[in-house]
Amino acid sequence: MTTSTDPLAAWLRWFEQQQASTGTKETGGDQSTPEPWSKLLDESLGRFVHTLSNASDWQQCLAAHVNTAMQDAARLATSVTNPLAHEADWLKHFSAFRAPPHGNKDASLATELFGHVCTWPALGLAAADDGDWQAFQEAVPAFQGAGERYSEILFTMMATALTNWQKALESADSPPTDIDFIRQQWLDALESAWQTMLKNPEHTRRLRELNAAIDQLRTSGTRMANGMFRALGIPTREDLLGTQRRLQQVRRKINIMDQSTELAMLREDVAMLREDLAMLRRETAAANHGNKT
Amino acid sequence: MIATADVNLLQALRRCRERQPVKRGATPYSVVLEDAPFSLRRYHLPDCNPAGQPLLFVYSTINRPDLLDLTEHRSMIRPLLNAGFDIYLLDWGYPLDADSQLDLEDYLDGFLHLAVDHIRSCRKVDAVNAIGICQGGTLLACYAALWPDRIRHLVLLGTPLDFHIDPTTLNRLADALAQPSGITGNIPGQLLSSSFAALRPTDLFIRRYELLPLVARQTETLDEFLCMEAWMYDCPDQPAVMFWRFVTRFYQENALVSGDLTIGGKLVRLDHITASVLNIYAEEDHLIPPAAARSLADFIPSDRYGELACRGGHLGLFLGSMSRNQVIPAIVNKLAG
Repeated sequence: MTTSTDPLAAWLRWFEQQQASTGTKETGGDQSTPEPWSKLLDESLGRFVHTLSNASDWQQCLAAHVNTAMQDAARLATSVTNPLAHEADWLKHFSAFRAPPHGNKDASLATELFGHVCTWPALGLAAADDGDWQAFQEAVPAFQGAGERYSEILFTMMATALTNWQKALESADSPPTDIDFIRQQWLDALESAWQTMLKNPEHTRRLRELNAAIDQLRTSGTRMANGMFRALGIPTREDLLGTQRRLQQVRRKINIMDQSTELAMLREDVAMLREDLAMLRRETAAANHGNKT
Repeated sequence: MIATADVNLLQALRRCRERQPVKRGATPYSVVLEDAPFSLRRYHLPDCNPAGQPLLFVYSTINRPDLLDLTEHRSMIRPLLNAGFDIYLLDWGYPLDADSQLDLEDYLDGFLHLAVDHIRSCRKVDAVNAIGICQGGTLLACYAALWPDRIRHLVLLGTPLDFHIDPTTLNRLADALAQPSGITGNIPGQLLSSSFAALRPTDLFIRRYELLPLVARQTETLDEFLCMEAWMYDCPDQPAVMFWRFVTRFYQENALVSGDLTIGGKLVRLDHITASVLNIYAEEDHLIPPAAARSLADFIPSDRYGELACRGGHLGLFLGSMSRNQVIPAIVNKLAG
């Protein structure tokens, strides 16, 4: 049975809500009445077809639409990086708050001295702690930069898809009127641009850079968090991993022991069989000897 | 615009809900060996006691092996069972967080070896016949190289061996992965599902569902569609150690064909395989290009090596008419020889 977290149930709820909000009735399979979910898409594509058909120069009109879509794509790319920047700002603030204070000339002598003492080149525990914070502070802008560079390549892919879609529609003598054709051309152009992007070594390089930056951020963040968790007596992923390593070592030892137990049993069986065989030989030899005499 | 004469998308989704939960796996089996998360299945038809020669399936760790027995009509297991084989299937299971340290040695020298020895001992054979599917084939080829006397006939289906010869988008995604420098848990299966879907996003996210109203017109077709859907997005979490070793050593460094791969302290050399090999691949496979599979020919003498090229994509090797008409007869023919 479906549950409330079932994606299928969620989709159905969404469809039914759309149906209720748009006042669309059940179609019963009647194609003349569009479904609520496709109604808005069909309407906007219908407006697009209408605009192209009524334009004095439909190709120029198409180019203008594509240009607007490019600007939307650029805004979309920025909207992806903006939350990244927001996250990065928060992380910067967090790391600056935790970082060792620097000497402040406006503060009292005691505070200023304390600040200088805290920035004194430290060794041992203090150096390790500072090193973690330093790594975290460096990881934040690296992550932000990698995210921005990856979204640039996504935008280039989207621009290529739009340009190819425009070319496909322009190749006809007259403006397109079939909205399903327009949609299929768009999907073809998008898939083609996506595949080109996946095959581009620059995409691989930027994705690797982004993955490495995320890893660096996670690793340095985890190191800092571990100290706090340990102070609170909460087990960390590191602790869990140590237990898992030990567990795996024990499992492997058990397997080896199983195998050696089996080997010992087999050796025992072979010894018994050898004894039986020796006895049989002796009996056969005795019988043969008896027959001869 | 996506409505058919009988069913629209909303109605199709309702039918999908009515058909839940979908049942994957049409043929009964017993679990004959277990070492969590691994298990060994032995299939049997209700009115038939398997007595023919044993045949072991080794499936990929990435997806569930249900693909081989989705429904009665889309099954590789059933026709081979009907042909008289005693079918065993190695199920790598659903690794938990506690399994994050499982490594190649645990898969090959551990459970695969246990499974092969179990079959040898129960069926009183010196060596078993085995079929490796996709990444399962890569693991099985390594095993056949490490334990050559244990495998008699080796059948590989859509199996990558040379990961650099003709890089696909999957290889490029693997290249973009950076092994975490710090502490890591298992690799979430959902992340893998999304990555595979991202290789062909418009096909898998949009066009596939355009067909749903058409598919929903027939209950049997809808059930098969839902089985496939459930299978596609059921990727088990991958043990971290095994996953990163596979990505770095196989995908990024191509260590298997360069003869630089060591498992359990032993060098894996494909030219150590003594089994008779049938290598089956799909010509339009977007995940495993033919060249990546065919590279095995460089390591096996021609009198022990055969190939079958099938027209179609990756999944066609296991499902549908290509599997029924080409793949299964070729396997039966090979193992009968």
